[in-house]
Amino acid sequence: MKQKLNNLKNEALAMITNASSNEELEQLRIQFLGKNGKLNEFFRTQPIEEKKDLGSLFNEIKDNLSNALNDKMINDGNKSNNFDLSLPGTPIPIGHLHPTTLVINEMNDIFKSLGFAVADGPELETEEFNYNRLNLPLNHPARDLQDTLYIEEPEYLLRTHTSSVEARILATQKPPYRYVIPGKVYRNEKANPSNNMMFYQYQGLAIGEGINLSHLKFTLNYFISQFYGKNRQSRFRCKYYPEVEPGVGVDIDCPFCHLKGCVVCKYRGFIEILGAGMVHPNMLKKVGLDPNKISGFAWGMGLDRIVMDRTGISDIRSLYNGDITYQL
Amino acid sequence: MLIPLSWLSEYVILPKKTKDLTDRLTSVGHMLDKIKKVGSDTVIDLELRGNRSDMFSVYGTARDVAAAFKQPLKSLELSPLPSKDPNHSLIQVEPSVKDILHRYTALSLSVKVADSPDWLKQKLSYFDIPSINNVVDITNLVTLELGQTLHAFDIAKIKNRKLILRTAKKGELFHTVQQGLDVLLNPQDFVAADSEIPQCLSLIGGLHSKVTEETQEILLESAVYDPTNCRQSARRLKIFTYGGNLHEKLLDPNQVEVALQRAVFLLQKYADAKITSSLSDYFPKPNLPLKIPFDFNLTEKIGGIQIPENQQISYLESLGFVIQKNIVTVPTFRTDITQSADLVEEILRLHGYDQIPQNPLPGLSQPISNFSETTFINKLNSFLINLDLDEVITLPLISEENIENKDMAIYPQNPPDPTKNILRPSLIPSLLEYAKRQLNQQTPRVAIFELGHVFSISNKNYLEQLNLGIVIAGNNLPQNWQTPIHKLSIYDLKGLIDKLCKTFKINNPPLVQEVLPNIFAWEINLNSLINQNINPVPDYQLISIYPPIIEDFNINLTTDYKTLEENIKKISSLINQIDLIDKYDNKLTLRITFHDLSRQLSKEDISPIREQINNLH
Repeated sequence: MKQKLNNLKNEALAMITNASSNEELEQLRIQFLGKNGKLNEFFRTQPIEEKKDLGSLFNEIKDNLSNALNDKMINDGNKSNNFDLSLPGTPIPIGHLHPTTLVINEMNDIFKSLGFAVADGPELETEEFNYNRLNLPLNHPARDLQDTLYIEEPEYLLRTHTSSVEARILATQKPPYRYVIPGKVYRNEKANPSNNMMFYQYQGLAIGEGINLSHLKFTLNYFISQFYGKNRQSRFRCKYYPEVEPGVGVDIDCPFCHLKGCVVCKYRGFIEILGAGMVHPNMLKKVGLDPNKISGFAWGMGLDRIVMDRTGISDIRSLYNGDITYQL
Repeated sequence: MLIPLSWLSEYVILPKKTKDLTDRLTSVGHMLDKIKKVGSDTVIDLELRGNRSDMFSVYGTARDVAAAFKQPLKSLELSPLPSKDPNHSLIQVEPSVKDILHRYTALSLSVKVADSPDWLKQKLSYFDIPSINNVVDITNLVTLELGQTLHAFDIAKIKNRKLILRTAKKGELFHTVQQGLDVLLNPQDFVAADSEIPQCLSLIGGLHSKVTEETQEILLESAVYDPTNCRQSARRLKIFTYGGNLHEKLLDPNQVEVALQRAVFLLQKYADAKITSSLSDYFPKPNLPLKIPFDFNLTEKIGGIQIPENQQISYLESLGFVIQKNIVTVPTFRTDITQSADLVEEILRLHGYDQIPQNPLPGLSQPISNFSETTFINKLNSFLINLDLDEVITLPLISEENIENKDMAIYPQNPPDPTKNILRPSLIPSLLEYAKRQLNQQTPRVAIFELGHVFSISNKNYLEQLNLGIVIAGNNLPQNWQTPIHKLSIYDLKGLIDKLCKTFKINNPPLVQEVLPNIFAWEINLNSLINQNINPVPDYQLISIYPPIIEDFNINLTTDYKTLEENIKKISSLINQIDLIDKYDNKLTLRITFHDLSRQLSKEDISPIREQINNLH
């Protein structure tokens, strides 16, 4: 009897497998599992003693056939619905940060791992913090080079560099500390594809005991490897800035010609990326710090060229005037 | 600074490969800018440091090259000058130049003016300086060679053979040596004149007394002026000469003597010159060499590299410094050296910055956190991106026509674009311009924000604050086949603002506005929020095991919506949420959610509430 039941099951399974439409499956369901279906009919004809024996097998087979029918229906269901998935999906808007903000965030992250926090300061600045405290007294020729945008000459101006925040930090915070300072700076420049009255700089400052040029080198090389890539070559050379002594100019190998020299790097093989150095003793003395005990380094770089390189935008004005759209 | 290598090699032996020379020069602080071939000679162009006035000369460069390559520096052939005349009879110094003239030295010589030899013409040609005659050319040559200007006058054209050194009179006319270039002077300009007319300025010579073939005797002078005064004169008169440029730097007055000695030597050799006077030297404050007590341990302290003391001394000596015990005497031509840190730089640059090792910064003894404005801006940025807004950055100068209350506007003194003449007191005008630009380009949806500083003045105090501005316009989605689109309305912006204010716990925010047809804007000042350390995290709740009962109601709006909502909520605490799902004129359909987290509500609980709601109007 058990054998006959199993035969019935196998017959049903074979027919289910060969079924080619949902209607057929529905017919098979009625045929085998319905009230007057083959399974129930078979069970009815058995003597009572046999029914007890076959009970659990009967239920098991009922479940098997039911599952088989369901599975077959679901699988076939997919094929019969026919979506053309090459049609475009519903568009959704998403928001984007400005490319300059993205570069700043990336740099902040890199320096965060070295213990640098982010600082900021006013854009409308005084002569005191923008010049005097940076070893740039009145009549220093470097002041003329900067083409200041004055609110009230000479006392109030729009800051010409983020170094003004460096001067403020020196004046208000007790060492040791490390800060990076991303920010807008302003110059009295007529706008053209490579110059604008407003652009971004990224400054850094580390003040404490026993800080020297070897720490500066490590910090900046670490930044270069993280931001530009591990295979880039850097060059540290002597360079003059009023706010530092010794002063350092940092270059990286030209990505186009790999040190051979080309138009992009003016045949130098290297591209300047930033200026740096040890904070000038005059600046430390000015805020009451003893240069024999406390020292520090600082660096500064322009951000816009980096942003333009990354976005493929060649006109700096486009970054701030509505020309860019975010296509994503 | 252009340096012809053939000329440079007259003073110091150069490395065989030019690249070795330029690489080392770049490393020690004089970066190679350009390099070009002129005939068989190579001319390098160095980007020079602004504070090394001694490098703006071929000989000065040779000095640094000699130190950088540990080579001897050839001395120049010089002639002795005559003794100083205590009455300095060739010059008369007026008190008005006391602050703008540091040194003025002159003597007279008889000369035979002739065409210059070819080698002299060649040297000047590298610098595009035309050859005039042997006397003028020699003064130009020495200027290029030593970085100190000299000028020769035809002394016959100077009344009484005496130069009066004074400031100009207002409107005084001066004929410069450049034909046709005449300028009007003012009382800030230095002038070397005779009793009748101005003969020479600090930046350029005069027409009347220039040396010609007829000149038989010259007055030769060299001087050092106040750099700021020279810069001001150059800018105002718009005369930019090589010599004038030199004078804007901090020059060493002692080089005046060297320049004259060199010029006299060359004039004697090539112009048959004979000294015809004693030396008139106005030098009221001679500068003594600076002596710096130097701790040789400082090099390691600042540079992070150990260099033996005798090596440090050797570097300094090769640059012309004299070291005795621990006192370093600075040569006077190094006007850029003022203190120990400068000496450390000299030692390190010759040693090579590439030799400095790399060490990670020592551990922090106190944790440092971001400034609060930065922290706040980052939180807000992330949130605004989630509202599908794009960040924009605009310029701070806008046209004053954009604002009504001009009393509180700040007018910069020299805006680069005169039509954008005030610092923005609001972000909206530039955001609006940005939006219009995008809409003109058929961008279907404009949804932008800016987090930036705004500026105003009140009671003579400048105020700089952080604002957030948002502008939306266009359609909510691009046209597509799946979903109907609608034109963005003021309520779309209000929806964003409602979410923002709820998340950042902003009470009583400003209202949204339609600033132009179909362009909506909102702005808020954030300064009171920056320090509040708000954490934009929503309240989390578990799903209740007791489902709510949700019913729709039709209600006529007779008050404003807020009042209606409050009145409904007052009816029962079981009213959990009210959503406006349809509106036609004053007829509202409200979907009201009734919920009790502790028990299953039944129709009996809701009936009395329903009746009260329906009785409201």
